[in-house]
Amino acid sequence: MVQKQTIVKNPAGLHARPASQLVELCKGFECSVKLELGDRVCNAKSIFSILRCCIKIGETVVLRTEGPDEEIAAAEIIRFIDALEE
Amino acid sequence: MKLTGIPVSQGMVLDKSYILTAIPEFEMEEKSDTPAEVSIALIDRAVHQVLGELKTSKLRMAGNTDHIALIQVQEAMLDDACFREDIIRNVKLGYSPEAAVMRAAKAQEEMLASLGDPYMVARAEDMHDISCRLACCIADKNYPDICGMNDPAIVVAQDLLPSMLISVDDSKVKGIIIERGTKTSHVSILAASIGIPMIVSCAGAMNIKDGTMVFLDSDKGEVYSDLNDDEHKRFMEIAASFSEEKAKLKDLAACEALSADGERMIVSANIVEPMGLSKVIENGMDGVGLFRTEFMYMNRKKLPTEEEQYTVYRLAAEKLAGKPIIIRTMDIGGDKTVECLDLQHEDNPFMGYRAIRICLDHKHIMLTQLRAILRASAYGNVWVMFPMIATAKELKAVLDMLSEVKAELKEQCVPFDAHIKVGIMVEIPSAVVMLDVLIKHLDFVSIGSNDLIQYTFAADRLNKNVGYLYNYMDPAVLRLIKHTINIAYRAGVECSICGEMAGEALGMAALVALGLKKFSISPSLGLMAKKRMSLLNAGKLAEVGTMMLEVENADEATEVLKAALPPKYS
Repeated sequence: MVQKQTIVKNPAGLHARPASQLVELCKGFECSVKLELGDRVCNAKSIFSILRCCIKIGETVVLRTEGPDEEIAAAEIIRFIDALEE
Repeated sequence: MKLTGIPVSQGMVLDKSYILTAIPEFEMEEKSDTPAEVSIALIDRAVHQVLGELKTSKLRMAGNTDHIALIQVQEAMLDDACFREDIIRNVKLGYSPEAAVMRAAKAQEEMLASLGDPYMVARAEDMHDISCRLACCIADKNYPDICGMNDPAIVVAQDLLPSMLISVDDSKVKGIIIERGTKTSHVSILAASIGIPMIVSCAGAMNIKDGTMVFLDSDKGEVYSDLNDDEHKRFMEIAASFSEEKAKLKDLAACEALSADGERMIVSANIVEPMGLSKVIENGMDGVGLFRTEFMYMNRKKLPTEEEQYTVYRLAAEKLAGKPIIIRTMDIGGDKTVECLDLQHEDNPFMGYRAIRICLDHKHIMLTQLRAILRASAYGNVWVMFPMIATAKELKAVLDMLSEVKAELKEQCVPFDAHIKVGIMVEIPSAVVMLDVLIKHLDFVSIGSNDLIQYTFAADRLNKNVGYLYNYMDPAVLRLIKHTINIAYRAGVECSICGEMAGEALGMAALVALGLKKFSISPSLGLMAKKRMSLLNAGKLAEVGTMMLEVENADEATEVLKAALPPKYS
């Protein structure tokens, strides 16, 4: 398992548009992808699971990937979250 | 027949109506004997087919990022593992495939709606749209679509869902009239971004007959149907001259604002929330003359953090790529309910505890905001402006806070623009009277004509009974403005205006006559302002400006000014 963390920096947080892009990215990996924010946990391959967590600007997200491509998945997902702008 | 509704996007259009029938409803309790595997296979095939339809729409919409983003969200919803799991669970409980889809969809719609965010309520609408489409596909029913539309028309519907609008070549949709709906729904935002005239909450819209001529005036929020020959002719002329004007105005986006005698004027924008910034760039305006920050404090329980504010200000500054952006510190008072500030209700909020008056008491609010603004100043041409300054003592207090924050940032090696331009709103008569003193500490001033007028006449501009006093053409107002301009120019300080007066034809002409060269107005008026400017001869109007100050009342000042304006100026 790989664990990494980052802070959400875009003003709108992980709202529908970035969430749908994140889902698309995660579905491309074989490994499971989980995001943890304190006691909220979501499956990053499901848009409803992400939206339910209401991930806002300034929040620390802990990312856990588990599976054959966990290393590359973790790196790319962190890069995606850090590059969000709107 | 005349109907009224809430305007969403502006425009005037005359065309045939296209009435959209209601979406089929699916019985949520419907059971079926079909074996679960057969139902699941049927559903999976339908998901596949609808995904294919979305892909086609995406190809057709190539280049329109708003559209494509919306489709991507619906794709993710349709192809979601949690959604599929819940459908299968319902199928196994014996529900028919359509009922299983609608039940699983409803659960997610309710979840989205329960998040307490109006934006997510609109996403629940997207979910409903895509699941109805899926159920129709399973049941082999037609989803009511405007793709059946062959000729250009004004679409009339009870509700219009986002996927309907994007299923058709949008050049065919000349206007949209919705019986229900809200201004903030996704369809409204889409229509506004494409520039389709649209109104919502138009009661009685579904009584319009299919295929008959309809005139939609979405500036006023009015619809006329059952037109007689005279009306038809009249509306045709209005619609034609509107589209001609619109085409002509668009050319001005690439031009600088120049007066008829070639003087360069600055036309910048008043911004209420960051979404308006795209219009500033689209209309080729000279930056932002007033960036309101109140939106950061509204609808929330806690004060906005420094980090949050910094991100928003920095993005705005970067978006303007070197053009000035004047950020005004928080201007909130007892007229608004702001949870995070816990303000008491006041009987006379405009003269009460507001803006700088709150910040001088609760320094942390101002210090946090100034830190955020200063940090953002490292990434663009950021200026800072203080509202509601009444005395030199208040100005000194806020400038001291600014110096304190600057020293702190310097010590912490945080980058910021050390020479950030500092200004105030001139909106309280005492500030006009004492401007020669205040000006020594300032790089610019901006006249807030709305408040200046109401404070000058002691007349609440929202109170209709005293509305006769609220008149920017009164020589009392004109003299205050002239005095402000004179003091500023003498001190070599920039002077602009950001009140509504500047957005009106007569107001702008009066200001040019008084010698003003910088205007900040609503971004949607940017092109109109450039057009007006091009008709005004600044040199000639200056003579009129002096005359306007010598008359006895507003009517005489208006008369003097109007006599000097070109006939087609409006």
